[in-house]
Amino acid sequence: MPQFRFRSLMLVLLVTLLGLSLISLCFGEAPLSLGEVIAGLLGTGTDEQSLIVRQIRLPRVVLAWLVGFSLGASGAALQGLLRNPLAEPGLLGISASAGLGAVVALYFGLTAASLWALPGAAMTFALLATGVLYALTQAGSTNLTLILAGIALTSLAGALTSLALNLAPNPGGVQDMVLWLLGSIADRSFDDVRLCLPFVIAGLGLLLMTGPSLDVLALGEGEARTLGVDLGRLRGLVILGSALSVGATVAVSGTIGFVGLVVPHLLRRFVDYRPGRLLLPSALGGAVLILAADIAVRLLDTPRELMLGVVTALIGAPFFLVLVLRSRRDML
Amino acid sequence: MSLLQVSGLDVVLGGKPLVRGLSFAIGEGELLGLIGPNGAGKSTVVKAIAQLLDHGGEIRFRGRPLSAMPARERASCLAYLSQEDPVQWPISVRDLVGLGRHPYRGSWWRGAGGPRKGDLEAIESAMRLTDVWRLRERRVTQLSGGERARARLARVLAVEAPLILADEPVAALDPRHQLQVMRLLRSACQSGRGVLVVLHDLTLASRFCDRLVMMDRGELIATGTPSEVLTAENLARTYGVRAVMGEHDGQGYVVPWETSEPMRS
Repeated sequence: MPQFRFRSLMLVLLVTLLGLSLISLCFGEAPLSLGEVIAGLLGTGTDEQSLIVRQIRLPRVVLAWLVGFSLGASGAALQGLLRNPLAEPGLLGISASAGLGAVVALYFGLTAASLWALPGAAMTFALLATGVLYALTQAGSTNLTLILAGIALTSLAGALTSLALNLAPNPGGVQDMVLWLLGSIADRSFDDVRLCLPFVIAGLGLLLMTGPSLDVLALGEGEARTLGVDLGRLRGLVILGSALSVGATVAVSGTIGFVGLVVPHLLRRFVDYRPGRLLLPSALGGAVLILAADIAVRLLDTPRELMLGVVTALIGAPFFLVLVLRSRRDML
Repeated sequence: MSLLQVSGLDVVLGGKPLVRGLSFAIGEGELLGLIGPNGAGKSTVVKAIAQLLDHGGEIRFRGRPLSAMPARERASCLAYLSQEDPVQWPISVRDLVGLGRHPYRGSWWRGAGGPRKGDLEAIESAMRLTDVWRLRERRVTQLSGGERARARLARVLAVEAPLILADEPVAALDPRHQLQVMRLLRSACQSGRGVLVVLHDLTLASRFCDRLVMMDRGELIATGTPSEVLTAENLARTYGVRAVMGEHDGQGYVVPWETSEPMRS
């Protein structure tokens, strides 16, 4: 029965993901019908349609998938590892640190030296941030201190990012950086996809390996270790996996918050609250949410297209507040 | 050969010696009680045996040093029930008990298909023994204290390990559930298993355990059968209490009655 439910859940998520992907391909400056989109994808339509669908809209959809997979899976993995439903790459400062890394790369003009400088810097900073969090868990800190440390990391990364913007010599560059930091997957090409794809795949691979161990960790660290869970390896996998996948996607999409918080929370009940089981559905759910939000920013009739990161934060922050209030009530 | 042989166990944590030169053994089919006042180092001993703490001295399982055993193999040799109750997520009782089968899973990609037949049998029999079978669809967070203690014990039994380490399994339970859990541990000792249980209740220790190890401030005070260990002198020396002792149906009881002048300086 649980097997059956798990498969139905995965099926529903996959179908939704594919459906939303097709819808996303339809929207844009030149609205296309579903038939035209499919013809464009298969290369049987006009050259213009093929160009629009394949070169302009498809990268956006693929990026939505990658960003969603990364945020959803790393949110679920971090929550399982830290045994805390409030853990999330954005909240723990991983995304902000990756953003800082990217801004540093832009600021010092490292991007001119190498195409890999930007994702490299983003991932290095994400790794540093997760390393600090890891050290804190090693030192036996409580979940509360960990989240507070995450907030401190976020603030620090934010402050250093502001400093870079403040000192930036070129106002045009500043606007680029700010817009990029707000988080968006509009106007991206397959070059961006290629840039982050290997790291996202590697990161997701590491994260998905942790499933069974995360399940056992529900028992607490002592009992989990006596059941054969290698805690050091597990922490390493989750931290490296989150840093790689989130760092790489932040490098091409900017910081998009709260997806890693909201998605695992919504899907947890469908996997009977098993933290390891949650990884794969959460990855798919993340992609569904990003795609839906990305379609929404294009549908909303605003003077300028809203940034994706702004929309997810607008939805996610109140959600987070409700979550905090509810968990406090449960403790009383 | 004894099931577990602890010799010269030393544990130092943060420069403080918590256990000094402790030696004892658990035989097959034996229920061994570890008793002593708060801070005696009982939990530390259990954690050291479970290889959760660095330690000096030697801990041998069927003659093999536990510390040299691969973690996976060790996981199927000993099952550990911790003192705290930290199950984080509201998983179902069935899933909780199923986690006890973790040491027998294949690699992560092969283990994705769910539990195998032998696992399901072990899980069901552990749940029936502890009388949580009818609770199997409930969430652990919705259980009462007694139900949760039994479900966690079922998780430990599902490992089917020859050695069970239980750190104060009856600490938070009412008398009825205390007796129930002790009886379960007692019956777990049949079929050649050994059980080490940390206890505060001296009557339970006296009634259910084959042998007792009494320790204080990290050192062994006495070891032997309950009647050998639970003497007025030992109780005064380690716990600083005078107790009412007697026999009922051929089994001893110990009821701490008043504090005595402890003999420590």
